[in-house]
Amino acid sequence: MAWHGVVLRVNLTEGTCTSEALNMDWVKLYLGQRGLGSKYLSEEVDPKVDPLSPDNKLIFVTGPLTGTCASTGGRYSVVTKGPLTGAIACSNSGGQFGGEFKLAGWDMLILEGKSPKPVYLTIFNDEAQLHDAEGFIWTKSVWETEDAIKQRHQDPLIRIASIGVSGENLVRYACIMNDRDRAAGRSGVGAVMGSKNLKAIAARGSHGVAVKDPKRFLEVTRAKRKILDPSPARARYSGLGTMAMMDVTQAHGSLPTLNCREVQFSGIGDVNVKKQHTKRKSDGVAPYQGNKACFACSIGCGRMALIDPNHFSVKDKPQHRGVTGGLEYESAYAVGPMCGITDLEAAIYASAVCNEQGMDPISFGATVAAAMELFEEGAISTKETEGRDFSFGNAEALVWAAEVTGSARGFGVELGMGAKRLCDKYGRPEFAMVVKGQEFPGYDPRAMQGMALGYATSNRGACHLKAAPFVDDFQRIATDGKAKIVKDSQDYVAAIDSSGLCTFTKAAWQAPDYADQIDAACEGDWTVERLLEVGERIFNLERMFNNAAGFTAKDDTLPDRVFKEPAKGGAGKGHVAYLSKMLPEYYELRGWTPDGKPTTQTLQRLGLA
Amino acid sequence: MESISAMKVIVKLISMEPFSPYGFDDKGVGKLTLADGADLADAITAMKLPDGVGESYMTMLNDDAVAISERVGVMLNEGDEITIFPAIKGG
Repeated sequence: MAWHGVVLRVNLTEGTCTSEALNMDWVKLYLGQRGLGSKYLSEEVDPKVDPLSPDNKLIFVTGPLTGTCASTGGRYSVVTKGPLTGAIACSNSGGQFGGEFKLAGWDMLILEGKSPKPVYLTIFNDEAQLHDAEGFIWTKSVWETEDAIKQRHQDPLIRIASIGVSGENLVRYACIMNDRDRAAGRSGVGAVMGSKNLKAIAARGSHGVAVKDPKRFLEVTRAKRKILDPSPARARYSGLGTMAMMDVTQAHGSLPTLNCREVQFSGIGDVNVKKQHTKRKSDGVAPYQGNKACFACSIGCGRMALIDPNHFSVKDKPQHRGVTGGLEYESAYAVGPMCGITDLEAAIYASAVCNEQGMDPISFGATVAAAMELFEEGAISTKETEGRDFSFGNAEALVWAAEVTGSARGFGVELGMGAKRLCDKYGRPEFAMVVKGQEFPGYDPRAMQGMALGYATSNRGACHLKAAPFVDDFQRIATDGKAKIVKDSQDYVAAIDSSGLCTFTKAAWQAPDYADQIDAACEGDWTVERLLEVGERIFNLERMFNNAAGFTAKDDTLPDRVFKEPAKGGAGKGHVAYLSKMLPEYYELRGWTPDGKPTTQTLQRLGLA
Repeated sequence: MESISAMKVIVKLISMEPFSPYGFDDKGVGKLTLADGADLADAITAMKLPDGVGESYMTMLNDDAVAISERVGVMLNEGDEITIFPAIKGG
């Protein structure tokens, strides 16, 4: 129950769509979404495969609670081998697409091979069909693609996941976008979709999702909403959104600024949440226009924004003159402080272009920041930047970079490689603020030692969502006890990421709240202990994939800058990241060898041997 | 009659809206008057934070993070700066 028991397998080389039974034995061990997708990928894809070759597979997978009335129960994951990192990639998205796909009667979609020509896929309840995309939506933006498909198929409630031109152009951090401004954002899953010549997936469903015990499920989900809805955490996410974080990291001294040269931003007041809520003098309108909620969500954290119609960035761009997806903290940090940008309208525009063209704004902003440092240090010049000053703080340069990267024009091709490849090319690898090739999110690891360990050991490269050391990190600059906090939270998050629910709920819910809802929906006894064991199994499975792909303990590291250049201010002033003090204990707690491989006993304990 | 001397500390509230105590400015900054000898725990209690006890909020004293469990006994001095913010994360 909570599953249809059906997988849609689309062979793009052959142009075939077939249904097959979902492996329910794996459901018992990996739950859904991140875990189940990782299991299928591990079984079907050689970890050494070129991520952009037809031999890689792209898996869209729901969780047991996706498509149900559980609050935030609309999440889906995209699992593949990531072209940004070469590691296993699992990108999680909200919006409406995941719920709609599940309501169409499918649990999972496996895309394999490569279409000989650009196509898009429709999934209208039980019917799946490939259509020619050339001359229709190929080369179009995410927004144009969504509008065109809804118009052609005469249904405004079709939900669409698609790539923009950046996915077509194999930008290494291309996203898969859905519902205009929600994204399976990280690690370049959109480039994998582009490499397969698949432009979009359109879903429309009218099936329900049957749960094990409907009466109990309604009672349990209602009870959990009574915890979530009145909580201060929900009020914060809804009221100020994730943008509230920027003032926090600024005060704490963990706001990555000027490509991590600094940990606090002198221009914070020009780009923080207060500025976004303040009416502009130019048109009397505040950038912040309201909230947007995902499928079944009772939080509604998503920000909507309106760019100043008088701003240079939107001149002659009518598609950017309406209300659009606004800055969330991670995108705001990247196109704001990380690049030294104080022009809020330019930052919103750059983020909106990332939505329009389908790029991860975190990786985009951090790559631009690396390029700005390369420029200031003389490693690149106006020759690359077509005559423009590419110094930190230049809003015009940011706007230009956003436009040329997705469309792969000129220097944009190099920006589209990501910070690591860019900095390697110009002989200054130390400027790439990456782990395993993926750019930092918005937390400087010098003031957050748990985050340092979380970044270094994340299976998809630098990530703030795969561990949750925040509360402890904000209380102390120390290394003791961090290994356990990071390890335990990684396992916990892996389980939530596999449920169909949003990780933001854990600000109000505890582990039993997830277990109760899953248990009411699914066969078998889902206890907290079982959930955490599933999370640990998933984390180790991902690690095994990466080890087989060639990653070793040497890759569990951070950029030299955060080891050698102490933080200049805030709570972490004078500190660097003390990774070597935490990593051995972390490996031991994980049941891994000193060189970072799960021991035979660990694999046997988790049923992975 | 014995007089009780008082001290003033500066409090910065970060991302705490709509919570805004009387006398605090629109940047969330205000002054708190405490008895001499007050510690950080006393200051947090006096702030009457939205969760009632202050355990949902992080604190820094003059740029140094102070753990929730260690607020008692962290003595305050005139002019000290306390920063208070919720435990949140981005996405």
